[in-house]
Amino acid sequence: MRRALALLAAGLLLAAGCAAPSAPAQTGNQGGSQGQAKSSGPVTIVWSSGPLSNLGLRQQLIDMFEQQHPEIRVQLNQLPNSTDTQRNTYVTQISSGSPTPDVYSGDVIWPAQFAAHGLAMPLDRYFPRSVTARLIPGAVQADTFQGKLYAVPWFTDAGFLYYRKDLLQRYDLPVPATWDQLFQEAQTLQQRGAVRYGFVFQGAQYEGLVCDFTEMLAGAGGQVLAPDGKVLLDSPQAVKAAQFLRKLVQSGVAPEAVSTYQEPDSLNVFATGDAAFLRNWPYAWAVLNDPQQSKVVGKVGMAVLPDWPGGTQGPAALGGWNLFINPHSKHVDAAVTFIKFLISPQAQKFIALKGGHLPVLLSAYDDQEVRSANPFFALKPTVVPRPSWTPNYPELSSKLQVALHDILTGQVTPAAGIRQASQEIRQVVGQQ
Amino acid sequence: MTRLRRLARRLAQGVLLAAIVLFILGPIAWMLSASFTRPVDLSSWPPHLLPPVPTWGNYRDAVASQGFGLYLRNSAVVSLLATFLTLLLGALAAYPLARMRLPGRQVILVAVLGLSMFPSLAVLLPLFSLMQRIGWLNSYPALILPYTAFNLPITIWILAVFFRGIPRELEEAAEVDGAGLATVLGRVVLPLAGPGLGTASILVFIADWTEFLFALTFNSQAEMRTLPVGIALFGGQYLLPWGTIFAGAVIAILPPVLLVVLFQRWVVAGLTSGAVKG
Amino acid sequence: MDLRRRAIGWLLLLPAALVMSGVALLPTALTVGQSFYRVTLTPAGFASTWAGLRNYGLLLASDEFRQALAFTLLFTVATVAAELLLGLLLALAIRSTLPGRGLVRTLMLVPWALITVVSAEAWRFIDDGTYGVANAILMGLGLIDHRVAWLSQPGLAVGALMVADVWKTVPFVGLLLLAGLETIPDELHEASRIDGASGWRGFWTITLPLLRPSILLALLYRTIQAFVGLFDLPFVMTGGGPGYATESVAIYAWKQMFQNLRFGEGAAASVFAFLVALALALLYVRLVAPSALGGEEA
Repeated sequence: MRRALALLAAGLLLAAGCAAPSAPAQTGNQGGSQGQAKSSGPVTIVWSSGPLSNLGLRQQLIDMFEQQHPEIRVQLNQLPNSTDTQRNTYVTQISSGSPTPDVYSGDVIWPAQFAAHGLAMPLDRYFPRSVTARLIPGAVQADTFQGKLYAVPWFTDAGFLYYRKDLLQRYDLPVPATWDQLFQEAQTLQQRGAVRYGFVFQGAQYEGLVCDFTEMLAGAGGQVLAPDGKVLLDSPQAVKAAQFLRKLVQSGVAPEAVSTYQEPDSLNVFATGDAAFLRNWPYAWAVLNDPQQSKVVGKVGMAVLPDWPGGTQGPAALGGWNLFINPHSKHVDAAVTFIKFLISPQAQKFIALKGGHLPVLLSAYDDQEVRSANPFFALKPTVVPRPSWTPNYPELSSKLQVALHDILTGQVTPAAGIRQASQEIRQVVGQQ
Repeated sequence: MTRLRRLARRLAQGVLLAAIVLFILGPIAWMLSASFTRPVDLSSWPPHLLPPVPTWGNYRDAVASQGFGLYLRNSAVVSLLATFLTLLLGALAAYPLARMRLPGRQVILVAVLGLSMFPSLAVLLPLFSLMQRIGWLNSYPALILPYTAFNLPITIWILAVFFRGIPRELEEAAEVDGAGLATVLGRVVLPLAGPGLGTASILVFIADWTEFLFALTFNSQAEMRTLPVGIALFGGQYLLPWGTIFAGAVIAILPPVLLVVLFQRWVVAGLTSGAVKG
Repeated sequence: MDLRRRAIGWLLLLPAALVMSGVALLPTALTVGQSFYRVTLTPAGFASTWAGLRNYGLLLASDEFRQALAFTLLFTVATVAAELLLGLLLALAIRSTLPGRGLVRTLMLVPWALITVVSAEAWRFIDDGTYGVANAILMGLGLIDHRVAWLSQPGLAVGALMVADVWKTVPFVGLLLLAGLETIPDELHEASRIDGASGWRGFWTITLPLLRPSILLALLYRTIQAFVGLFDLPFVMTGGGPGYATESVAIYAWKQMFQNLRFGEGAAASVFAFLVALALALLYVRLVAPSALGGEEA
């Protein structure tokens, strides 16, 4: 039925195209031939990807790859940096059976959903344990759904604490190891007039808030979801973390506007010199030390995030990006070759040095050049994943975002907010 | 007394207009200023209304970004052709709907309007499938045809309303003189509907020029990309270079503004020639 | 003869009909069809099972959807009313002889010609609670005494979105009404002035009635856009929050389709929005300008 309609439509379209005298002469038909294997010459694969920390890196990686593999050409389809826009594009293209992109980069929280809905190809055959054992285990785990590997980690991301080295020194304060300590030091610095705000983080109603909360929750010793899908959010630990979230705003340690901050907004406040502490990803390091963008060049230190006694030490939300293969790709072998290159020592070292991204290849951290390039390569946080092992994670996250934001802005008490979020999440997870 | 009142009214009018214009132009002025501001000066309290250290850097970055000129050209080709096609088909369709006693034309008008009431997101998937099946992805028609189809409804409505506003006697006089339908349309109706045509062209062109979703999804290859998608590619992961984005947007706004200036001439010309004939 | 004329009429309609049915009607029909199915995306492709009105039932039972519907309606009514009023004032002012009106007329189109996502980002920056210009100006005028995080509280966020939307679309409405004003012959105004009618009376008795068709067009187009197309602005500025305060019907449909991959429910939400928009449109036609559908010639 559907096919018949499509054919009819195609006929109509063509008729319309003929009827309209102004139909453009340049009816490029790249679309038609795209993705079909050519009988001779190099194979071309299409790689769709949002940007890395800077725009040119993807093409440079491709150039390196094509030099090593002249039999494969890689065509880059750039996507905007909005994760939602990227997912939109992939869902549309792949659910329609499009053979391109062959390889695409996607968020660390996608694999379960993409696997369950046939948007990602199972990859165990091409990336056996012997290969994945060389990568960060937490990142590989996040790409595994029901025992099968659906994506290959590319680079990872982790939340860190940025602090004003100069201010801590001047007021003789240690780098905070617990959240309570951070709170007190922030208040002290504010009272002495050193900074306007104590601590800034990502408090807008979006995925970033879930990352920040995941860290506080782990630091308090709690979690949202057990690996078997049981909801564990309804706990004193979660209430404690939520209360702290609210206390930050109520006390003025965090600005009221923190509830609208995404990564760039929180970074701006810190880079302007208006805040003593910042929670952000490693990319912030390069920005904070660039005089074009920052007023605190050379005054910033980095540490693992604080925790509470008895909780996870130095928790860091697992972020990062993966490489997926389109199940309809006509060039799976070439795609696999390309992905293998992207996790090779050469490519991993390249994105660490040139992009400041955390490699997923464990051996990259032993490289002297990498270790000395950025301070965070030497930090050892405890990586905590968001509960993205349920295919309904996007919906779970969206419920959690609303509840956390309501708590942050004082629309609901921490205890009530956590209770309601737990109920909703139970429904979402049970709904499969 | 009356003069005084008239003066007061003019004054009130002027103040009101000034307030509206200020409201409209204020944010534009701010964006313009931000596009000349260095990133490091963009966040400050109190905010800088003028760049403390003016720079062309953002414009350099925007224009030097990969393919900016190409995207500009693609946008121009797609928007101009789509606007022309929309106006042509729209005018042809609006005339019988406005003037001829076609049975069921009310139903047609409502149905046409209904077509424009579907969220474009909701038709994204089936439309993509369609484009893929006929092999039109990454081509100009992949955008021109959808832009035409989705802007035709409002164009037909605008033109039908303006056609109906033309005194019927003029057409009848022409017909009595032995003019065929083509002559009536080309010499009498279209010139007299100048303001309607001008308005519709501007609206359709701007809608095409700023469209993002279809452009992103159907033409994902760099060679076929349009400007709104190109501007969305500025920045890195977690990085939004405001200055560069605003600079790109300022450049992107020049073609439609230029076109409006041209159209205004044309619209005014159409009006006066109509008046002469009338 | 009349038959020939009629045939020509249908022939003139044909090209537009072909393009619209192929590119707009067909995908729309497919989506409408989907709304009656339970559509799941599986590793084997799309799987649809007949579900009757189930998707619509789920929709109406969902608090989130009802909230989205209420917000979108409120937003549409408030912004369209404001835009119509301001647009009319703008059009009248530009129409009357004013120095520099050509420039004003061109410049006022700029917000409309801006890429929506960019203008939404600009407003997010203007309304920023830490460095935003809005706070600086309002504090300078003495209207507020501390920096307000406009997008963090439900009521304020809705207001901020409305301001941004009105800003962007007043020029459009103004232009449409201006085109309508320009088709009203000057002689009519002069005639009324000679008759001694005051400016207001001339406006009520001559200008406004003649402007009806243009007002109808503005109402129709803006209502459709605001009701069905409200997406980028809240998506960029608030992400639909805080809570669900600024989640529009289009965002709800998007979430169902592209975030939760529940295509049937997303389609049903779209159809529902379509029906409401259509009802509003027909109401306008009835109230403002019944002749627009034209059984009887004006």
